[in-house]
Amino acid sequence: MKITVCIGSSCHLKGARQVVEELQYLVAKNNLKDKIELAGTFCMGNCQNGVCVTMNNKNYSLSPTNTKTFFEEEVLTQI
Amino acid sequence: MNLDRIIAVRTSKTVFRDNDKVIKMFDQGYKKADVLNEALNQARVEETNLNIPKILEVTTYEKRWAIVYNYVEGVTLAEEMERHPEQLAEYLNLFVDLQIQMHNTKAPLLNALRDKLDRQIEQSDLSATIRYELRMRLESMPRHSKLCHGDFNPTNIIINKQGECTILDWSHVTIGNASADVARTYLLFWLEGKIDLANQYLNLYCEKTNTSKKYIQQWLSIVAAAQSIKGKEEEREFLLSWVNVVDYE
Ligand SMILES: Nc1ncnc2c1ncn2[C@@H]1O[C@H](COP(=O)(O)OP(=O)(O)OP(=O)(O)O)[C@@H](O)[C@H]1O
Ligand code: FES
Repeated sequence: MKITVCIGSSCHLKGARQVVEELQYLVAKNNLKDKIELAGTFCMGNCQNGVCVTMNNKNYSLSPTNTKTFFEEEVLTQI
Repeated sequence: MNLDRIIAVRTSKTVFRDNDKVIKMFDQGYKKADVLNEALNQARVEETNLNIPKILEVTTYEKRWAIVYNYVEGVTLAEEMERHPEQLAEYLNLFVDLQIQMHNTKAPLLNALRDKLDRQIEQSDLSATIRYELRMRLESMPRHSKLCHGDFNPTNIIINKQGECTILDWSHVTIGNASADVARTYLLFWLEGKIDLANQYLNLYCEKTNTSKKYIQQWLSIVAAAQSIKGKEEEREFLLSWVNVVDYE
């Protein structure tokens, strides 16, 4: 399963780097490196919300503080 | 080190740009030997006349290893191919020429592709019988000392406004039989779902180098078995199905 995080400038200002680092940490901690692929993409045209993340063709709007909840509730339940 | 600007994200790596530098930061679990090996490989290729980024530093930051390179201006060939589909044939031509030029470059101190493939086949999930057969087939293949990138695909090539190309990501470089490198590129296009492009690529390479497709095909099962030990679970099954492919046309 692929999780793509927007690394465009607007998402950057909302904490894309922290979201990326948190996801990398959670994937490693849960031994999911061969099941989850993390990637980055430039602006997804969805800048008005939080950090734009896509997984299985669905868009999510994250912030550094809700990334862990996203991982537990959306990622872990879909793999 | 200014880590404000992310330019690429991978499962265990983040690539940042800091003015004229690029910092590839590995996650904490990354093996030191793998990072240093990547840096050494790249340093060896820097000694050739190929156009590649230069390593400026190997360092650590908050307990993570990082390699610092000079920043290469331009966009990846993969992006160019997406943006200008009408020029695909031209880009593919450039791509194949670049690969042939690379194969003809001498870098005798690098590790042997044959040893690496042999080790990877041994580590794969295949049965002992199939592993044995593949290793025998590998043993029987001609021995060459061409520079093989190991991950030659359009995302690893940067093209600038003048049309000059720079080849990135030398973590898998070895010396060996160029056809194995070509079989790997063919597989990488397949894994991306770009099957037409894979075939166009193979035809063009074979035409330019006067190589028979059958010969490249003999490498496919070996290379697919070796590639199957890498990360991605969803690719593994697909790769293992290639191991038994005898005729693909
Ligand atoms: N020296 C550089 N100059 C400009 N951009 C770079 C440079 N090095 C890396 N990049 C960018 O970062 C991306 C990832 O770099 P690289 O391919 O070296 O990393 P990798 O993790 O080994 O990637 P891959 O998964 O593609 O094998 C490249 O596609 C390119 O866009
Ligand atoms: S910058 Fe992220 S969606 Fe625009």
